[in-house]
Amino acid sequence: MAKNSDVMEARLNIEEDFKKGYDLPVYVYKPWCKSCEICVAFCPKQVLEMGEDRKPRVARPDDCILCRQCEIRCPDLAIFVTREKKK
Amino acid sequence: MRMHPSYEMLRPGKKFPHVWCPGCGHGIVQGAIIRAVQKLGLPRDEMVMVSGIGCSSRMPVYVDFNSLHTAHGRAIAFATGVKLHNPKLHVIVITGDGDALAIGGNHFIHAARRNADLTVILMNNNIYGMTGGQYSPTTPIGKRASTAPYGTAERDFDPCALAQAAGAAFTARGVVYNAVELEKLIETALTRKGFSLVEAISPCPTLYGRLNKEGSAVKMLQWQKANTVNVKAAEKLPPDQLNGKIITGVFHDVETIPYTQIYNQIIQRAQASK
Amino acid sequence: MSKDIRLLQGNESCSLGAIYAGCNFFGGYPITPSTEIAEEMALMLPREGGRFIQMEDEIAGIATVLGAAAAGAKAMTATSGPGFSLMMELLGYGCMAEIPCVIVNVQRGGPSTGLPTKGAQADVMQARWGTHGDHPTIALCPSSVEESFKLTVRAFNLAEKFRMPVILLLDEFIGHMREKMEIPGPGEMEIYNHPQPTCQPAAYLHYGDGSSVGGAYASLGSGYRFNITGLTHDQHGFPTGRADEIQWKMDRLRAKVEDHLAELIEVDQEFMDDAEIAVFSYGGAARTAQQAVREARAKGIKAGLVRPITLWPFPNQALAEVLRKVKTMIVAEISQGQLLGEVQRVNQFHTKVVPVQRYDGEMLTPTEVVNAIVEAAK
Repeated sequence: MAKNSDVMEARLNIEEDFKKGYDLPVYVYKPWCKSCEICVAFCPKQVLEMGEDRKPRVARPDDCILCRQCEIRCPDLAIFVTREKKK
Repeated sequence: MRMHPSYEMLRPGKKFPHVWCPGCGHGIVQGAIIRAVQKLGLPRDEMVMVSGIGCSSRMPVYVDFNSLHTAHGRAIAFATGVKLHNPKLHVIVITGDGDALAIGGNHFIHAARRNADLTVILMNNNIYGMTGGQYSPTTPIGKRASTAPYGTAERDFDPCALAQAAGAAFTARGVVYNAVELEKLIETALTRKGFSLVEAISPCPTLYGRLNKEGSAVKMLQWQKANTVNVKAAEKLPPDQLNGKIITGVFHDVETIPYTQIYNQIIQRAQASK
Repeated sequence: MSKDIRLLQGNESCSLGAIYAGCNFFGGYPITPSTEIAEEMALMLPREGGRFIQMEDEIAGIATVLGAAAAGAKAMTATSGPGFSLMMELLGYGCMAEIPCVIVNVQRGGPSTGLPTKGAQADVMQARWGTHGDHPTIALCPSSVEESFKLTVRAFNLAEKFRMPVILLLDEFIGHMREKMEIPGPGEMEIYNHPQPTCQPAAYLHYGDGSSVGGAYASLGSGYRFNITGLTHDQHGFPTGRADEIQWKMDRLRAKVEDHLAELIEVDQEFMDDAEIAVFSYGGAARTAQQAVREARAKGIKAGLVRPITLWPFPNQALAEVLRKVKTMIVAEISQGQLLGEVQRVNQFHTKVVPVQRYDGEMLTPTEVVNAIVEAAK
């Protein structure tokens, strides 16, 4: 995936991953991630950790409470929650 | 599957990731603004995002609004013209501590005095980031910058107090660590008539953080988490427990008749006297 | 239909011209000798449903003008030397972002505070090169109260069509003198409005329509969402660092004036058919030169007047044709020679160029010019 992409291209790539069966509670769009580690540091449930490629990895998906703290604190809109919270 | 809700508000055709450094708080403020605008359902065609020059001011090109990236310090003056000509538009000014308070200081205080109906989001990182880390009007005295290698010799001022003293209708401050509160403050400011200011404390790890050894983006957000006090709580604390702390929340919020509404009355008066 | 004839001050007729042209926004700051324009606009604009604002300084003044114009207004400001100097950066912004507006400079004695109530013509080069970087410039210069009205209308039309700031160089002589003039009736003078885009918003490129000099362009809040920036940008209006896109933008700006010289340049000539001595003069000084040429003709001397109405772009061709024909060209200016150098540059012939200048705060007198003509006729 090209490092620089516009939002249309990003959505296509993400939707493609969804179609391939991606079903973790959090998705990281790696081309936009700048490895600042904010999401990992402030996830209240330590769901995330930095992978070998220095991008966040969903290490403990079952602990995720869909609180979206990673999503709203990411400066690059590169991580988000993929499930709606059950009412 | 749920897609990132902010993506629909990003500028089609504009290449991402954006220009800000890894961990820069400005991207978090951008997210808060997008969510606030979505929550209020403000129509994009009526949104005009006006910015000056500096790291802060690179935001408008990334958002799918009408956007006007002006000259250093002049965003508020440009925005005054946009709003006065077409009061129907929702005009948001994106500016930084240097842009708004140094070169733009004259326009900042007069727009507040005039109660120009603008929502000004001042992203304060206590430094001139774009030009490589010089000290700004909000750099605390004694802190280091590329033009203050021995620490600054100047006191900083409080933009919210300055705006209130000049006549602003609404002033508030948030920190990017608490993006939820920041979003709420921006949302409230967007509903207010007249000059409404939200100061967003947005850390600059690359320059301010490094020059002052305040660490990485994560460390600077952790510092915010530990050193932020809401204005209501602060009122109950003795002053000495507040120094060095960031006070957040709404400081000033009064009902006012905005400038363009008053000017419309002038138009009616002039046309009646024709 | 009875004619609307009035005794008007130059500044006043400039304001009336702006209203006639459809101006609906004025942003400015008080400065002698231009302030009457602001006062008139403050009085007239609200009656027309337009808007006036006095800002905290001239930079803010032109900033509101550019902001309003980007949102679709026909906008202007008026100032004098010191304010004009403060407006330089944003004059360049208006060129780069291609935002139409009119900037009136009622010139006074300079530099610095200078002679606030006395006239001069020493900002002409500043109008061309005052702001930094290569950029196009259109500057018009009236010599009468009536022309002050008409050139204001023309300035708005050119700004709209060429999609850039247009400078109107009055001087205090023209700005403050009163003359009789007939106000054109509605429809008598052409009013130009730039074309609006008709394509789908998703396909809109703010700088993409090359079908005419400014192309069709939208305003902020009109249903087309786009970016305006002072950074050198591509057809979208997105900042660019690519050499080809920078070249495209710089060439687009230069071509605006360079490819439309005939349309932009206006030069008034009097008694030039058989003239052997030409007097090159403009603005307030041209009234003196006109009188001097008439007095010289009365003495039997074949003198003529060449009066550029467009100062920028400089009328190279028209001037060359005159220089080739006459023995001497007298350049009469109320300055230490702002366009003298341009005349000398164009003078590739054997024509003698004689400057006649006055810069002591007083008006150049016909006698001074007649003496130079008589001298040249020896």
